[in-house]
Amino acid sequence: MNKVIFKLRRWDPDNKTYKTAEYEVPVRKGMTVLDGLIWIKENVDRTVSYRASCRMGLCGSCGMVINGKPMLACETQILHLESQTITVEPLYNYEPVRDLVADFHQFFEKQRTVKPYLIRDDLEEQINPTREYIQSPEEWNLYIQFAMCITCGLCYAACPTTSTDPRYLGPQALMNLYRFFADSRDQADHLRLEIADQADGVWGCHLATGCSEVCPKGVDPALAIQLLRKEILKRSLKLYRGKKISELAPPLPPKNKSPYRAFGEAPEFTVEEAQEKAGEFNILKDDRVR
Amino acid sequence: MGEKEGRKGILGWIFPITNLERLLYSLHRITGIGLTLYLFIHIYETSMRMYGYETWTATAEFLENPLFHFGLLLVVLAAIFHGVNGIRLILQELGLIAPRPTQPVYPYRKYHRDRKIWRTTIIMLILGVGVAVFALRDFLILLGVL
Amino acid sequence: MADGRLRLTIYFTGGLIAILLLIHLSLFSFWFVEGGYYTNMEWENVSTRMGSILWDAFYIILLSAILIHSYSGIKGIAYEYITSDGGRKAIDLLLTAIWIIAFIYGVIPIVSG
Repeated sequence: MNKVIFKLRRWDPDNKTYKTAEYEVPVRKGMTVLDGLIWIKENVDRTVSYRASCRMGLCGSCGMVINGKPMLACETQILHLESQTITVEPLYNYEPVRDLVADFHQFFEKQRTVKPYLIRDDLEEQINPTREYIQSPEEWNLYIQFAMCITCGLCYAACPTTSTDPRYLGPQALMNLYRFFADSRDQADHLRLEIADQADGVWGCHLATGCSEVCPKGVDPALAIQLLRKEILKRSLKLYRGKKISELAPPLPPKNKSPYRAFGEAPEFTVEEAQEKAGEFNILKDDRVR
Repeated sequence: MGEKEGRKGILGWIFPITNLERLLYSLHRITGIGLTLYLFIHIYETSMRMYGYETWTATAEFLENPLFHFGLLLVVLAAIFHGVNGIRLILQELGLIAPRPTQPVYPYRKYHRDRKIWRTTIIMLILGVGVAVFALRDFLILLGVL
Repeated sequence: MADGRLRLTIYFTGGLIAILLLIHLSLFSFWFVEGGYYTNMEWENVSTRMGSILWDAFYIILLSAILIHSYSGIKGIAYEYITSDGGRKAIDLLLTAIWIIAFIYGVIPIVSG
């Protein structure tokens, strides 16, 4: 069985310093870095701390810097790294809490700044929803890529501007802003463009594209930011025409008026009526069945 | 800023090197600052003309030095790099020819690897290399090698 | 939008500089001029160039473009480090002052011939 050396750069909150700890971990094909960390915790050192949850690249908890690149520990196979030494550090540009755990407080604070919720005029419908909004597949396609974000925070670790500017909104927040801007159900496009149009908003991005490279879900924050810039430019040149806003779906036809019965309602026939309606396709009369 | 907050600070200009474009960004920033410093030195040097013929000739003789010629070559190469990369950034940054977003399907399409933009960049790069060859030959002539 | 406009000036001036700088460099290249670097550094040749209106205009445009381009760039970097509003206003003033002085130092030799 192969063995690799895990070098964990663990943050010590008492002494406020990083300490490197080395562990020899047996490796077999298919084992991920997270599996290695769990093995260390179970067999060698119970004090190692890390965040993990779904272990399948869905929750975004296990973001770490592995061999110098921000990755999800559950999606990185040890043997794919092709290295005898696996160096694991807590995510860059986040305040470390302990060992490999990073504090996401600022990340979510910035996400809240961009108002990541639908803003519409019809408040009554927002509070007491009755029906859905009509949105075509084409309108859905315009933003769905950016809605796949799992808020793992890897993009912040790769972004050079977040490493120096604490006020920069960051790739995830700006992409989230564009996701709601491009959503046809949202009516606050001017407000969102104003939030983005600052030195710490969209203009802090210099297209280093580290964010899109490390994103585990292919969400491409760099594309979202460039599209956002295009919209801001259009607005400043007075070329922005606004967008088509999704309307509330019309109410369903009332009961008994429609010849086709409303969805979810069982037809009210007796067995004989049903048999008559079935006609020649009546299975009860089919000799092959009996 | 600093290790306590987890921010990489000035090291973040370079690390983590996740892809080629990230490295190009670091070099673009470093060459930009270098060129700005050279700009101030150059403006000061050319302003020596204000003080007359003797000062100007003395400045020109002072600069007649292989070290300064090498420095000038580096500046020209930095300017070529900055220019070619800058053209790539101009094409990509405003999203004017960006593709429409679609559902991400693995292997994911990345905007920074957009073919149209990189084709133009490669053409500009070839032109830039041509200019660099010119500059290199001039430098060698100045040194007296060619 | 001031930051946006500043970023746009980077693009415009960048393209302009790419063309004008090549012309400026070719003046000092052994490929295009006999004696290259030495010829066009001589006092008389520089005087002739600075006397001509066309070259004056060329150099003023090139100088302005480069100064605006570098101003916007350095300001972007400075804003990453200075995050307080007051600090940013101060850095604005400082950079503007330095760049205006550079412009004056650059324009006088051009215009005075």
